[in-house]
Amino acid sequence: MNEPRRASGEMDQLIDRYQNMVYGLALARTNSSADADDVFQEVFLACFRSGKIFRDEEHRKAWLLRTTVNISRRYTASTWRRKTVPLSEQADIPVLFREPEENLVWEAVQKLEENYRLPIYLFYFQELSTEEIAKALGIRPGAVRMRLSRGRDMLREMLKGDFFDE
Amino acid sequence: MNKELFASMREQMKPGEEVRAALTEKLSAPQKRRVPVGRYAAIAACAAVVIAAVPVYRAVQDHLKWQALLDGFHPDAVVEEFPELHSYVLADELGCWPEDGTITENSTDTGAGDRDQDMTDGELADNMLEAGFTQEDVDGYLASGWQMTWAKWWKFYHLAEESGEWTLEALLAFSQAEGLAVNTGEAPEMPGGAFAGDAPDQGEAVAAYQNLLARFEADYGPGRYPEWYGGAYIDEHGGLVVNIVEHLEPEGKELFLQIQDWAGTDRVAFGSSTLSLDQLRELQDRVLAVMDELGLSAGCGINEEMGRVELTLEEVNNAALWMLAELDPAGTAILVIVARSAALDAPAEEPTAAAPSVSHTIQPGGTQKVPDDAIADENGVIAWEPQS
Repeated sequence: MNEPRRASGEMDQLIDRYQNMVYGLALARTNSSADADDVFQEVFLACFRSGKIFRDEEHRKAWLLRTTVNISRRYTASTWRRKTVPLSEQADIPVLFREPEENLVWEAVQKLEENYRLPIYLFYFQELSTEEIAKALGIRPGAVRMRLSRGRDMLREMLKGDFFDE
Repeated sequence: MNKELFASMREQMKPGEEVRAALTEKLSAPQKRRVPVGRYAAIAACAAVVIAAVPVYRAVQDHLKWQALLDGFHPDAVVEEFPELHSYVLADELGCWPEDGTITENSTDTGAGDRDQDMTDGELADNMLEAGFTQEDVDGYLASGWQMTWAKWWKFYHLAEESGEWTLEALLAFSQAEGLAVNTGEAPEMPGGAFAGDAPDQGEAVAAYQNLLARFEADYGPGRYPEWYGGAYIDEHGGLVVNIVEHLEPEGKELFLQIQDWAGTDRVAFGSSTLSLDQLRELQDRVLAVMDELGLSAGCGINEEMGRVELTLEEVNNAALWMLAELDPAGTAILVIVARSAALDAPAEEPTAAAPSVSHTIQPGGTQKVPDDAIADENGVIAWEPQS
């Protein structure tokens, strides 16, 4: 059984291991670098302050994913954010990848509805299993597979079949 | 899909150095454990609600309970608030004094209507056996002829509790010292009930009363009376007095003549009462029901001479007084006698060998003949001689 993460050294290791997963999910969920930055910090601060004891690494990973989804939802759903969207859009830095095709794919993913976007991201970008995705999103594995199938079809249509290894 | 592409993108999706540094700084800063103010506030609010809810709930439940009870007795009445408390009297010695929260000794009213309630043989036997007397003691006391009353019984009860003398001898001595009336042993079918010593002959009155009751039974059925009939009693002159309900009293003489005709004698006087005997009986039933509901031990009878219900209680509480006030808003139809206080207040007295004093006031009802084995005392009072 793991002890609560109190020492900064342990916390650094934890952040190193899961920062991309948390940040990427926050980015996929909010489509805002600024919000993703905030969500990223909040998630690990919550993990640190909660003193939560996890059964195993899988448990910790699931907790981080679920917390990221929840905190991201709070950001995107908050009244404050909705009212400040015009100003934020001007100040926010668009998510840019190194390669043009990467930006095309990201843009297509962002066009998906949230119900399809998060399973697609977690499955293809984070390479989680359908069971892990189901736990993180609080839905059944069957629903995850269905959303993956439909989301993939939508992406294929948007990307004209490019970048798909059929 | 293109795994290399997604892997490349995943590698790029990481927080900036400054964001990671900011997080590290926040994590390194001494963390003051956040006080969950909201949680404590919620708990405090819940506790306050619970604390406030308990007395409110009890008050509401009590109110609903009493209101339901009251509504049960008066289905058409709407009780908006608790009634005033009913007055009561503390049984004291041979008399009683009114009690309105404080005892006023000078306000003694020992009229005939405030008499203590007699115990029947059965009631006395039950109470004696319950108190630890044997059946032989009961039989012995009943043979002695003393007429025990409720107030006197409770007085003896508390005295015996203090002295530990639960003996027939102590009870007989107490009865003599208290000057209890004498039970003739007769059970006349008369309203009220105690025998009077050198009373005038009551034979004619008793016969008149029985004639009257026979007529009522024939016309109205067993145990039923005309609405104008407020009860009857035999006065100190040995004459039958019939009470007529005040607001039903006729202007003419027809009813009075009719009653005399039914009684078979013109020696019938007339009094007045507020309630009819039927109403008094109904009130008696209600009072007993209320006392039963409240779990109070009570004796309850009708004093036809006074035209009221007389209730003897061992103890009394506000709930009982509320209910009684509801049943008797004017406070005139029910006389509440609390026996316990009389026993507690009264000083213990040494038994005396003096002959029992016998009331010369003829009580409602009475008896038409004196037992053959009765003797006369020095004052000519005829009574059962106590077998002490």
